[in-house]
Amino acid sequence: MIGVIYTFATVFVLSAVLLFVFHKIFKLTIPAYIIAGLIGGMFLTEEGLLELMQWGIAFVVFIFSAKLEPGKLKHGIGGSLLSTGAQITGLGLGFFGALYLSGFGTLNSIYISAALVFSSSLVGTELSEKYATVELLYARLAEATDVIHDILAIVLILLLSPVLFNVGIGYALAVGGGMFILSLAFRRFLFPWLFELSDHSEELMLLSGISLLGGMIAISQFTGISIVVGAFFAGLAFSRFPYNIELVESMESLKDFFAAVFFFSLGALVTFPGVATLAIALFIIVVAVFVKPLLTALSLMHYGYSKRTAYRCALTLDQVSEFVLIIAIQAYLVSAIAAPIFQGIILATTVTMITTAITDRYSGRIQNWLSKNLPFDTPEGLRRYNTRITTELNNHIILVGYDVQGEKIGDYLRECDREFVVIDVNPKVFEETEDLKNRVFGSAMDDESWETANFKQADMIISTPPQRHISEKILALETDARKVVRSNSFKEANRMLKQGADYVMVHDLLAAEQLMDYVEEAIHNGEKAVENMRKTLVERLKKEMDSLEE
Amino acid sequence: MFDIAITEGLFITWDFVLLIAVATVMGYIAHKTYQPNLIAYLITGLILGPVFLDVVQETALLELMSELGLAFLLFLLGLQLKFDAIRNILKPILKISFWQTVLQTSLAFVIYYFLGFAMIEVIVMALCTVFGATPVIVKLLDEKDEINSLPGKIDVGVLIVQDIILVVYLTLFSAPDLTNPVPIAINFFQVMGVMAVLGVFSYAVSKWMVPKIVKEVGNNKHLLFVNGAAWAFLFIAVSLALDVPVEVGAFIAGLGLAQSPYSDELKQQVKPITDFFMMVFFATIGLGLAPEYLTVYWKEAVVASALLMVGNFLIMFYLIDREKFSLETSFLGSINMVQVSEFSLVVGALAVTRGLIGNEIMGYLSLMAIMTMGLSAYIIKYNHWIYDHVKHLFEFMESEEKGDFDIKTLDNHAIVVGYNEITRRLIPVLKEKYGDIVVIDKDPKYVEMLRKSGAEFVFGDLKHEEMRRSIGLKRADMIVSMAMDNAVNRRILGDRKEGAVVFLRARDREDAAELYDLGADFVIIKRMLSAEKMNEYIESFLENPDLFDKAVEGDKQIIDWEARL
Repeated sequence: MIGVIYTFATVFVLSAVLLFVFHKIFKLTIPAYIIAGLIGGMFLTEEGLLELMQWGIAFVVFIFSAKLEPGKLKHGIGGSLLSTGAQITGLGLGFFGALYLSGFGTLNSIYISAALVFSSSLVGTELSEKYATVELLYARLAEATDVIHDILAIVLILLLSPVLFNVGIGYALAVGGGMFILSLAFRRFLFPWLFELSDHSEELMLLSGISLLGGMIAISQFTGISIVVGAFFAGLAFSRFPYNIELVESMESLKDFFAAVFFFSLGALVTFPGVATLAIALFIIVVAVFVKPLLTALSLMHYGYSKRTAYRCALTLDQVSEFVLIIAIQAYLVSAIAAPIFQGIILATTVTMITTAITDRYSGRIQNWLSKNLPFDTPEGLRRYNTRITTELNNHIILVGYDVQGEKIGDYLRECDREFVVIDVNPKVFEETEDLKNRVFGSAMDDESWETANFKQADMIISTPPQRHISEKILALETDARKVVRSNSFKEANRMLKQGADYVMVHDLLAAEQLMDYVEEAIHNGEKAVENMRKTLVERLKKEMDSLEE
Repeated sequence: MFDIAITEGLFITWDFVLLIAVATVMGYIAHKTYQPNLIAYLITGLILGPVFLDVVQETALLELMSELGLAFLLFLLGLQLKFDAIRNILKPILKISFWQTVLQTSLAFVIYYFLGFAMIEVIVMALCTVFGATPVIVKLLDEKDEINSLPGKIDVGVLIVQDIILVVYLTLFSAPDLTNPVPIAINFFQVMGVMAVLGVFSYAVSKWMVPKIVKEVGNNKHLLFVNGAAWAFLFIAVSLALDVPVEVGAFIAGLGLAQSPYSDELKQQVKPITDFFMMVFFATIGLGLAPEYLTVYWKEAVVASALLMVGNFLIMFYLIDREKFSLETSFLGSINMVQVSEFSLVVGALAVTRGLIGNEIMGYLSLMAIMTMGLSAYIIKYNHWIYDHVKHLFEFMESEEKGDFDIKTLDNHAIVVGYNEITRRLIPVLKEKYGDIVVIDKDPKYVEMLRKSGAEFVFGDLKHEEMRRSIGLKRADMIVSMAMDNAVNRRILGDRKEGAVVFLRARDREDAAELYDLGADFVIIKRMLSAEKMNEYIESFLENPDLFDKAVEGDKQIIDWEARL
């Protein structure tokens, strides 16, 4: 009918405009949809959208689980489990108890507590894309934490099914277990076969994906379990390379389409907020933005991580998860939670997603401020990484930062038998490089670190982090040592050369020069040269990986 | 066309699940028997509908999705029409299309008249069944890597003109009163006027505003898609408000965007969702047919299909040949085009709702679509084989003055995936060695910059199979990829030809090791490359600090120079 077309036009045109604005300012999508919905809700009353929301939930969950790569979690799983554990026991149970006792009722209390505990992986990945290549410890910790949260949210939905849909808990678990086994069987046997059968055709993989999704959802509805569980296991069946690539690629646009409808409709469901709604939203916001991150940071410090890593990681978790929205809408549709609570959760989620974009942008400064002004620190006895100087430092080289590049330079210096000392603040580095003779565990911004590294007697200082304040600190040091710093931009590099740097490493330039050597070798010296080059490089890589494993 | 009431019944139901499941199975069968998916979906509807099992009803959900399917189909169709692609053969194309439309419509008219159909049916059917099926031809030729050959280009060009004519037909059938020529004419000119205004608006926006918007959102696929969908729905809503067929609005929305260099990626984004909705659309046509509709005219359908396939081939062959293309080009170009367009069903469905034809004609059209598309799929697949076996029959037509002009295809070229500081320096070196070089990037902001450097720039993502084909990945001699996404890199290694040199970029050592295992020649880890070069400088420092100063002097000059840019 005509109304539907106008509704779709309103949904997409409003969303596109707000997405554009939000992308420019915050690099975020979900709050843009919700706010578009808030505006659109004022003049749209399309019942059909509510039912289409179900499709949005199905596709969002499906794509999420099809993209899950358990391998990614291997770094930082311990810390994440710990911080999640702390949040759930500390925040979740604590607040659940408090809310329950103050008369909110079991279900309402559960939903508010869920909003307090879980943080968002979608927002996490949207914002931290820029960290993806930097392999920072806190980013990995945060990523793992988010995924654990999402999976726990699914488990919570499964556990809530009995309450929402009037089935027994044992029954719900049995159905969930059955779906899990079915999904693993599909993942292991059926889909690899289908993938070959279809000759990797995108269209057929798309149809297979939607068939399975539809089938699992139908089973969920038939057995009285939440469709989220079905969608999750359907995605899981595909979460294996290589066919998840074809599938996610082609299903992404369907997800985008229905997710737009879903998040828009959520916003449209919020009417003019009353006092109760605002109070609940405010409460959730305060806890999610202040209490939860602090608790996370404290638990990470207790696990032996430095103040810096703990605060940075905590700052990426200061929002309410979109999964909470999915959990809440399901309860709302069967009238299991009160309207002000549902609307409060939506408002709080939207607001925290926006505030998280802001805290993310200034997370470096916020972390510095927190480190200086809060009385918390990693307990002395628990600190797992310490400074160690075993040789006399004279005419040595100081290496600031020991990531891939720093390590490679370190290896070379060791090969040349040249004395050097490493300054780094990342504990992971020291975890993996027990054999370093001299290392200073501390910030390059601290004078103490430099004194320990005996910078006045050094011959050369090489700094690999690109942060300007670190480079400027080094350029200001009073020493005769040659100073080599790093920058990501030519403009900044040029300025540093003028400020007295002896050389500025610009990765793009260095890498391009080196790559050019290789490409020219390959182009001009033919197949034999390529073969030889490849052999040398593979051997070198193997050696490096072996030495890492030891 | 949007006259269904949708307030409820949009939940995912067993009916719907059954429909997709059967469509999926039929899709696999079609794939294995080299048949177009369209046929699989039509047959899915026939199986589940009253013709065979009668287990699935047309629900509000199916109706909504098939309406969306039609709108997206037209949007995608418009999005695919790049006038640039046929610019150098535009003149012969226009001549061929014009005469082909006239001659084939006349032929169809005569055939249907003698088969004894009523006059209004004859007119509708003749208009419906003269054109080739774009999705079938484009998909099959693309899979055979013949879409950029000369016969392929001629076919695509003719299809573009045909599609535009079909959209005009849609407007004709939307006239309020079809018995009187005056209101038809008035309606026609009204619609044409609106189309022209929308078209100019669409083109102007895509020329002046789209580049700016795309520059902001271009590397964010999600935003690109939502913007595209918003654009399509905006045009659909405006058409609805102005009483123009919504399909026309969707088509023009796509057509305007198609002329911008950014349309390829959007096309890839829109295609899957269109495939899905279209599946529902064609299945719904099957669902709507009762058994008796199919049996009334089945003999006529067989006779007409046979006559039209032969007749259309001869007409096309004559017309292409007349433009003095080589014998092979004329033969292949015409034999690819012998099927009936899927639009016969779209226009047919519209004619049914307008009460011009009955459901038995719709059954007839479905049968014809299934038969001609099914057969032509094999004809296209074996077109060269057929040509080799019958070319002696046509040799009398060969003459000195006929011949093809060269169409540039990419071969033994270099491909650079991802444009950045590192690859920017490589481009001149690669250009000198390989001549042709294609740069593909997910970020559109380099279009202008690269145009100047003599490299061809493609905006898009290699994860799409069509994208890999269109840059000739399988024929490249040298591939340098800066994509740190191992999924893309694995694809490159899977598709590359033997002997091609492949440089890939990896995030870390684990990824690098995997890529070497899969056969990469060289795996770049940027920080390691950079460290290697840095170690060269340190080596000179350890030898003598003055040597270090000399070694880095060149770099310092480059930094100074770059900083000024």
